[in-house]
Amino acid sequence: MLCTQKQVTFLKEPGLKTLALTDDYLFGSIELPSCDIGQATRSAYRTLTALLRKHPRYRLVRIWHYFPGINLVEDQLERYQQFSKARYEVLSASGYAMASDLPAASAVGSDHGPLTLHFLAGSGIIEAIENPRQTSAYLYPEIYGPRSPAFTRAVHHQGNNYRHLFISGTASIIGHETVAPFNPEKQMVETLINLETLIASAKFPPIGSKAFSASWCVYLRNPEDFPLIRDMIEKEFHHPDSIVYLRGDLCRSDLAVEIEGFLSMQEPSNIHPKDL
Amino acid sequence: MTLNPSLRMEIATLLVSSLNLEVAPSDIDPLAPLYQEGLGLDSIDLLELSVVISKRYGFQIKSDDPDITRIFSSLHSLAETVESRRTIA
Repeated sequence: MLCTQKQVTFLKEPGLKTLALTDDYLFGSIELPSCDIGQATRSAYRTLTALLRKHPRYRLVRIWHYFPGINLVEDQLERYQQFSKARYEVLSASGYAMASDLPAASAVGSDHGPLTLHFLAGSGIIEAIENPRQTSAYLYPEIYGPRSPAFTRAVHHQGNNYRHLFISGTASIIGHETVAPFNPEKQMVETLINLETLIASAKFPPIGSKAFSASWCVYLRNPEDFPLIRDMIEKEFHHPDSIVYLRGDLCRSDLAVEIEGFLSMQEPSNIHPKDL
Repeated sequence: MTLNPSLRMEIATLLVSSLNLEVAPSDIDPLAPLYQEGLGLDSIDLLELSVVISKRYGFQIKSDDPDITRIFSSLHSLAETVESRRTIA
């Protein structure tokens, strides 16, 4: 959806499994063995920040992370918290300002395999969007880990003739606390309110509007919750362009569902024909 | 073929300005590799450089060019390529 009418150039670069460029985006993937998740995260983020330091035209908009055993405790620290600590430390050391430079992100537990990180960096105007119902993740108190999760709730990316909104993995959290632990139905209600709130904060029309196209990804911890969650989503998202349902472990063991999204709205070109 | 030294300096200047390199054009070793060790360019830099060269000199260096490794092997080699393929004076 990001590059249907754009030329994509694939490049090769040491340390990156994939690297591709369009006029508007730089996309890359990194894969590393995930047994020591802190070390793997540090290494991946050092590769990523070094690449972007060389190419300041592109700024991070979105990162997807997948690794196994996300809720496992190893060396007295949950692997997600080890991951968060490493991410925070590398971004912080690389000069990323928590209030303005963080990408939208998600971290989902896979069943097995490496740490996989996919990133998108954009060359347009980038703005971090927070959710007024939620504490910014980078300000979470220490009960959620020694270093806060360094991501923003959404990122707005504006190019010459489009507005893109990347929505981070969004769940049933108000303030910094889980609402309705382990209850998929009640969590869906809060998650949908959080999505609507974020979308409104980014000055997009409400979900269901035909003014934008949308792609959604729904992560379910328990496959048996699928019929319930699908029915709730189909009722709310009147014209889904694309919805993918995946099973995955989520960053808090009491969360049953998490939803991420990408919204795209075309806008008239800012370049007047007489300027060409 | 004798390479025009002013063309080599012109390309060095283009390289530094288009890629925002923190090196003076005259300090670029004409025989050092451009990619990775040497000048330290990566594949994104080389792609951007190809675009700048095509605009300035009127020919394209495509990623599947059989000579691509040699073309970017040094500033000297890049200047030789520009001299032989350019369509814009």
